[in-house]
Amino acid sequence: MTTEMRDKVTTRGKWMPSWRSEGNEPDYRFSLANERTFLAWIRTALAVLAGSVILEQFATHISPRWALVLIAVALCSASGLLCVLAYYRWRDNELAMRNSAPLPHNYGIALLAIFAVLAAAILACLLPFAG
Amino acid sequence: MISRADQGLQPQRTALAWRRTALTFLVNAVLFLRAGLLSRDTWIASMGVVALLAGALTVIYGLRRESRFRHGSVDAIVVSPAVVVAVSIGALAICLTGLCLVMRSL
Repeated sequence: MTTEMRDKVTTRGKWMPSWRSEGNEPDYRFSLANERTFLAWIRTALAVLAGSVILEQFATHISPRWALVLIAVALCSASGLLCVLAYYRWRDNELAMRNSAPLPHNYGIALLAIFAVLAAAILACLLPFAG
Repeated sequence: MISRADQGLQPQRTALAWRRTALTFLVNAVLFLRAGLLSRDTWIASMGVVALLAGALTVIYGLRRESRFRHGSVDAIVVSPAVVVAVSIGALAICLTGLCLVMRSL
């Protein structure tokens, strides 16, 4: 990317938070990769949400009902958390790239893994007793 | 101008990512619409419609950016933070609706 191209790269939109003028504009390919990762996290959150709704709506034969609803509630909460996490992860990575700092650690992966394992384990315990 | 090697790759991958995201909005929209219509809950059903609109908006935004990439428009490369915030808030709203939907049976 030439220097004049780098100077011309701006972001669209009228609202720009203050951190946007920090540091140097990163290589556009890294910004695009960051954006795709953000969208991937949003998709993950929405997929967990869909799974939770499907579980609550369609798994009518699993008892006790309250355990199932509890899992669904936990999954929904996880999905909401992931949405918030997605934005802050995108923002922190943009900042790190601008200031040539190392990319910050992302806790969303651990959170997601823990939730998935717990939900699967509880469901595995409930399934043999399904009516 | 974006180099020819990158022209087909990065922008296209980004556009595809937007389309996949739109699809997940639509899947959740269908789920909410079904649940809302079955239980005659107007709020859940209307959130389904909102999710549908979110999906449509996402598709449109992806297409717009893809066409801007194709014309080598340098100033359209980086996504605006406002859009990122809007997508996060929209997805969060849908997650909260899902939470209410799931908690109804408690």
